[in-house]
Amino acid sequence: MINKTFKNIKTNKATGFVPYIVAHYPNRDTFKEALTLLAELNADVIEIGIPFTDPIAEGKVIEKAHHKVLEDNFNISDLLDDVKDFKSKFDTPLIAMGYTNSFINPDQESFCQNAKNAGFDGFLIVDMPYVEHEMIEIIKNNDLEFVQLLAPTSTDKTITNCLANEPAMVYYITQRGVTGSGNLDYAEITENLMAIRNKINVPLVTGFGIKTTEHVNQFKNFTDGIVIGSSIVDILSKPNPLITLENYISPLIKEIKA
Amino acid sequence: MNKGYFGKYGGTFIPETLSHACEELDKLYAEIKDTDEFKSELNDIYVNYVGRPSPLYFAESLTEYYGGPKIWFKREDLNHTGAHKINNTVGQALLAKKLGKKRIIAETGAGQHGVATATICAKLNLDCVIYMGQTDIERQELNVFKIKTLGAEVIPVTSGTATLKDALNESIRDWVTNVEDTHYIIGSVTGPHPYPTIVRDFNAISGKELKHQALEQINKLPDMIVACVGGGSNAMGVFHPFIEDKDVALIGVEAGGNSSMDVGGASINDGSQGVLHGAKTKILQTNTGDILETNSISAGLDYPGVGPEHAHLADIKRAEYVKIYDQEALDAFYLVSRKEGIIPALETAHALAYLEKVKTLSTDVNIVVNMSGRGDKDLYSVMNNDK
Ligand SMILES: Cc1ncc(COP(=O)(O)O)c(C=O)c1O
Repeated sequence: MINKTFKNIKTNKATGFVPYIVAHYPNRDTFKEALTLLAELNADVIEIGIPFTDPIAEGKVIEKAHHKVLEDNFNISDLLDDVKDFKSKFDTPLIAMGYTNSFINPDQESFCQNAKNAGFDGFLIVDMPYVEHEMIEIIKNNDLEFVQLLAPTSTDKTITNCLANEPAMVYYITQRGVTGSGNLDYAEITENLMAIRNKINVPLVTGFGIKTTEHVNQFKNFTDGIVIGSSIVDILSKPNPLITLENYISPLIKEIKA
Repeated sequence: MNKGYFGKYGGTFIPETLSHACEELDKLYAEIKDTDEFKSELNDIYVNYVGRPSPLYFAESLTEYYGGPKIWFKREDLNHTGAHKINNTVGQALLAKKLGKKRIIAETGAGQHGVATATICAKLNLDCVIYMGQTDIERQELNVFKIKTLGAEVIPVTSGTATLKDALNESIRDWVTNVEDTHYIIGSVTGPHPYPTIVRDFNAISGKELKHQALEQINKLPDMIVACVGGGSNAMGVFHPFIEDKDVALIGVEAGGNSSMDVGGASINDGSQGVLHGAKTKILQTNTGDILETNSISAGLDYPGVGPEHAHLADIKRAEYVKIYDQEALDAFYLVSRKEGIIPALETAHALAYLEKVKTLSTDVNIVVNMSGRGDKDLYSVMNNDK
């Protein structure tokens, strides 16, 4: 069965647009405006990075953003208020993306409840392995969707085991590397995407290092959604972030949906 | 229960890109660890290259000075490269060769693990890259030069706190990127499964030797074993063969930092359960799960996490974990240098400082301190601190 939350991304003919931004980066106000802008530009799902001191899968751009937000005394309840506020105006699905240690305080159950009440739709926890069934169950029992990462190094056995957890969406990492790197191997990526798509009936999105219309063109027919992260986060650190973001993202969206 | 758990601690909390590499390592290690071929290959290196077995030394002057229990040192400081760290790196470098990996990466704090890794990579003709925090590069200049002399590259890490934890982050990022041809030699009993087990097993050579030596030289097992705990590899190495010997008290000494007002490096004493660098363990963190900046005069203990098996031993009360502050460690550093003619590493000085707390025990009591490393690398820091 196709999950309700991500229904659009799977059933629409066009490929989905899935932007990633870091919570409260570059500051709380700009973050809120960026969130609104992305929704108005018809983002299909928005990923919100939960800042962490030690984001081991992030490249320099996103790591810096995490650290900046923490230096500015990031407060998770402020973020939850912002999400609630956003959800009163838009129904764009929101996914909290981050690292296990940010998702278990004061304990995992309370964190899930708080996130759910605020309006988050699901979690993508980069360093939580599929074998942690109990933790995954807690997420699902709180009526939150669970997104599974797969990588070029994932074996068939791992893929099968991951899918047994019934994720609501699968996120394929394009490369061996951190976010924002530029080692895209088109042939390998499309081959893996085709193989994974054959095994699943939930949406399959693709990300890591996708920045240009050329990248988008390479993959859009093999995936249900394209994730764009580092280049958006980078733009948000610049002067006039929102206008620059809109100018950058509009042609990409056009290409993705074309 | 999932693989790689010690009670409720451990696990494999890593990005999916690395799960295959960890599985591969786990499988290879299980296949070869008990084979005669691997054991004799490793033993040859331990004996002829590292200089094992390391002596169990009776610290007569220090014993006399305190006038209490008999004090012994397990002399890991006499190993090639001057610390216990080489016990692990030689074992893992052999595993890397068998995995067909030509490139090695490692993180280092005090620089001892970096030196021990660069050393075996030189011998086995493996490319070697060492990640080291900028703060540690400054306080461990000599080891940085040693690593470069051995032909390895040192990459400074300036993000975050620019210490060991950030060097670990950068190493993981390199590993994610180069996982096909690179083996990551983690330097302590930390990280995702199977590292805590593999690093413990390679370090357990010291505990196994100690058992034999104690029976020969003391005619019984020691009453107490004391070791400093950063990530916990030297401690786990001497503790592990004694875990079933319930009469042997196991004392892990954590770094308290400058004073009790400070965040030191005492993850078991002052930390709480969390997930860091691949494992669920005790960590020093804020109430929202961000990792705290730690402080210790010794770079090797300046880390906000601890090996998951230590967290478990603390929970089940099989080992006791105490805190020693910078000044107490410095006092012990000078005391042992002057009484025994052995200059200890500042990490080790934390374990030695614990003797002050047990000096009134009876003269029948035998205490072994694991002399995890020698102090050459720290002379510069101590000199600056004294100014
Ligand atoms: C001499 C010495 N002892 C102890 C340590 C702490 O590490 P572990 O707790 O893993 O033994 C270090 C780390 O660099 C060290 O160099």
